[in-house]
Amino acid sequence: MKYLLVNDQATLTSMGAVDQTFLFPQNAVLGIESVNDTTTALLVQGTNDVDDEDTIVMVHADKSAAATHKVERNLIDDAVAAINNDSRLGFTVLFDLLNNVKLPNQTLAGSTYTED
Amino acid sequence: MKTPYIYIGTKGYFNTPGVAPTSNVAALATFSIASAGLLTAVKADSVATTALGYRVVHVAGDQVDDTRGTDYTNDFVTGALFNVDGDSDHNQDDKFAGDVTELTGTTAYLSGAANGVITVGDNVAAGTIGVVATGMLMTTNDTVVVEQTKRHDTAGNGAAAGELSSAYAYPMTGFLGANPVAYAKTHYDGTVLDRTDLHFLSTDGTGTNDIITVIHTAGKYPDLVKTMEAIANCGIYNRAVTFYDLDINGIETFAGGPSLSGQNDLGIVGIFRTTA
Repeated sequence: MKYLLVNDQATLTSMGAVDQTFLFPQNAVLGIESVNDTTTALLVQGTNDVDDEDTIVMVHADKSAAATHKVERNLIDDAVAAINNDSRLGFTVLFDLLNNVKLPNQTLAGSTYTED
Repeated sequence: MKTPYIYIGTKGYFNTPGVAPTSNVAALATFSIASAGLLTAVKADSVATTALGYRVVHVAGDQVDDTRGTDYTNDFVTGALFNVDGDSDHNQDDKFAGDVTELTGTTAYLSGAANGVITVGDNVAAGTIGVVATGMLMTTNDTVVVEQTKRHDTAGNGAAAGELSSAYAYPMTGFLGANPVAYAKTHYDGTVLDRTDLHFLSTDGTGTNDIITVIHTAGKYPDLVKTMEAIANCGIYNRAVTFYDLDINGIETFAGGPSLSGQNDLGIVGIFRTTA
């Protein structure tokens, strides 16, 4: 089993509380779905309540614009590749605001993790 | 553990019986995102139908003279000129069973304020919409199809992004099964249709399920099931496998049938999430 890591905090001192940094197993993913033209959500089985979901919102360019209309589709491919990654470390960083790590078609600013 | 992911775009589709006009207009049955994957934004009689992300297509159920707007001269499916039966006016406004007309006239119909109601005007001068050139006088034996033609990013196909033209990707480990559902409708090209619901573990984590409704050519259920099996065991892990997609240019992408041919082997005419 491999794991995914997300962090939506830009400073070390602000990491660690609820809705900030999250590690989850790759088989906890429930699905990926559109939120609006510039955000897509990765839904994960809740860690605090297994009858609920945790929400990882990934920001991207405007999919209603002609030049970037494929961006959400490509971001979903990015996310799937990361989720299924055979990382030797045992985990893959999905995005990390502190270290400026993100998926290729993602916009880091505004991407968030929310625990339900 | 790794698992293939299935990507499912949205194509709204609403197939409903014709409605006889009252005071020169006929309001079709109400549809919604949940029932048709489509919720049209406001369309006034000044908005050209070419500006919309959907089309309204009328299929005649029986023969009635002098009922079709005179702008409509050719069958939408075959392209052939409509028949002229030789009545006194010799126009092509005489409707014959099986005639297919895309209502392209700017004044042909209205759409309410995102309320899922399309109102078609008849082909007389009176009334607020539908004129001699653009209207359609329907009977209850007729059929009307409202079909999404582009992703939602056009003025007429949803005022807000929200759930319109949403895309979904599910891990195939979350696929629960495929359930045939009675449908008994015919597409405007004469193809008899079936409906199959694809069930996935819900993305809200509540122990319920998400249902993707697929409207497709009748008798394709076995092939649809085999297609899901093929995707589940395709061994592709570095991207999501597209089952269906419709982009802002109207380009459709298909997984295909069991061979994953990339063609519309299942005859999909509509696909949308009905339960989330």
